Amino acid sequence: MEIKYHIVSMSEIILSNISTKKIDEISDKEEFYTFDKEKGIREVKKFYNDGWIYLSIKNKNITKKIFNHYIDIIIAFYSPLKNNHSVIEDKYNSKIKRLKHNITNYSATIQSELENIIDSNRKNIDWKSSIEEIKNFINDDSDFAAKTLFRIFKNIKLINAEMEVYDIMNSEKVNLNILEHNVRKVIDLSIQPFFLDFLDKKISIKIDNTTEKVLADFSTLSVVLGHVFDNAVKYIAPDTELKITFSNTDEKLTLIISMISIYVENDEIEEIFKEQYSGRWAEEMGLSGYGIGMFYAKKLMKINDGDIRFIAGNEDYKINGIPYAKNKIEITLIKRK
Amino acid sequence: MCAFIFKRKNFPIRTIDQIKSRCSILFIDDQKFEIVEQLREKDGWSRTSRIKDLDSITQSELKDAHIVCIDIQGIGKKMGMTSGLELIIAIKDKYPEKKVIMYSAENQGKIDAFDEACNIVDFRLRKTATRYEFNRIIEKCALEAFTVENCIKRLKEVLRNDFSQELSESDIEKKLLKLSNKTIDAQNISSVFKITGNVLSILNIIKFFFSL
Repeated sequence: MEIKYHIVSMSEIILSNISTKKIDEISDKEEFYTFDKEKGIREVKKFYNDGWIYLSIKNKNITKKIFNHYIDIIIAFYSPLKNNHSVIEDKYNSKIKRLKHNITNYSATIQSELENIIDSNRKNIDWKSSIEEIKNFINDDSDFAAKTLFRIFKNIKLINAEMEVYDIMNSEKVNLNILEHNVRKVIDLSIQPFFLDFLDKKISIKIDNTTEKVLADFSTLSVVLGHVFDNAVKYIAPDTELKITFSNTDEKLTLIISMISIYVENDEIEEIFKEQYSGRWAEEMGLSGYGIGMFYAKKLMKINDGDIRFIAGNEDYKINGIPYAKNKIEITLIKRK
Repeated sequence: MCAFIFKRKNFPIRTIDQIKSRCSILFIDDQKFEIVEQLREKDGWSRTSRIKDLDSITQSELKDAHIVCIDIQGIGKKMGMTSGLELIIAIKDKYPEKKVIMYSAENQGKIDAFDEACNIVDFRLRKTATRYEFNRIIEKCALEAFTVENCIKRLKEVLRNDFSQELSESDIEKKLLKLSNKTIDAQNISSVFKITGNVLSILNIIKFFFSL
């Protein structure tokens, strides 16, 4: 038995298994019902609700009555199918929207940074001297040029991290490259894009030495650390220390990131790992953003057979009315399978 | 009185720097990729090169390569293939021992549609993977193929699974040493390892190991 169907709602195809040629053939037709006795094909087109339904069954044993039952089933499924379709579309759109929003922001930052070096506003642009101009600019203020490049580097890392997270969260099968990595090397590479921001806040970074290796997917681990350092930069108290130490067992290694940062209330400690939740005081400071960083960090650590925990300290002191505390983030990784 | 000291002969150890300088890495990418230059000039992989596409499966650059890194988009056209994925399948079919690393800008979802290639490559990377990741994965491939310990481990497993032979690692090492003075062919493999039948799997591993 051959069944062909085509269901349309508001000019959008909800479900179909017919060729584009056939679609073109029937789309503009009025309602019809045909029966080719020789071939045993019954066809129907019916307007329904805000769209239309097409059904064709090739089977000499199907009677008109049975065929009508098939039509009734499709009609019964019409609304749920249509709603399902919108739900899926909305979900997809909102995910893409968030991705586009973040990447647009990073891209705009990169563009404006580059426009400091590559000036496009001058009148009578002499293209041949463009390279000379850039060289002169860099020589005149090499400090500024270096920092500009660094800021661009950070934003590109953030773009790549966004795309990586989007892919992982929206794919059924995730490709991970689980390899041994020197944990100190991973930290150095992941913290590097944030150096300038830590410098601006006069943060001294102290990382313990270790030769320990961990088993992880570098890409996702780097994204997790990126989120943690990105948060640290936003919420750490100025003029303080960011300390990274390690604790070991035979099977596992734990990174302990200690800092004085904004206070997280007791009832919020688990909440901050939930999607779109930002801590009360983070919101107060207007720095909360989408509140999705820690949510993804938790998921990505799970993918690596690891974990991330937030150990909240007690309120220590206040700066401009915002309370700060000695907080810790613990990231656990496996050392061997 | 003199005491006899039996010196056990071991296979000469290959250092990572030796492996890096002799391991041939071929990139197949229609666009210039800075990572290729960095690997060759800065990271010690002195035999790294790039071609824009492959003319034939027996092309010398491919034949001589130990590790092949392929950007699946925009290649395979010269050989009449619709994508680099088909090329990967052809390469792995002809040269099962060569390490193949696939990289692309495509997101994961789309690639899943081409499961066969994904399952046979040794590693998959994003095009935006860092220089560190490329280095780490290439190093992993090179160590797997060319260190004595790893070669012995692989041979031990294949001998156990395909030939029901249980040999110690030091025994396998002795046989490897023996073979290093002979021509690597099916006959010598069979006689040194005392196995019969199709020895292609063992032959391929050992031939590749000695090709460095």
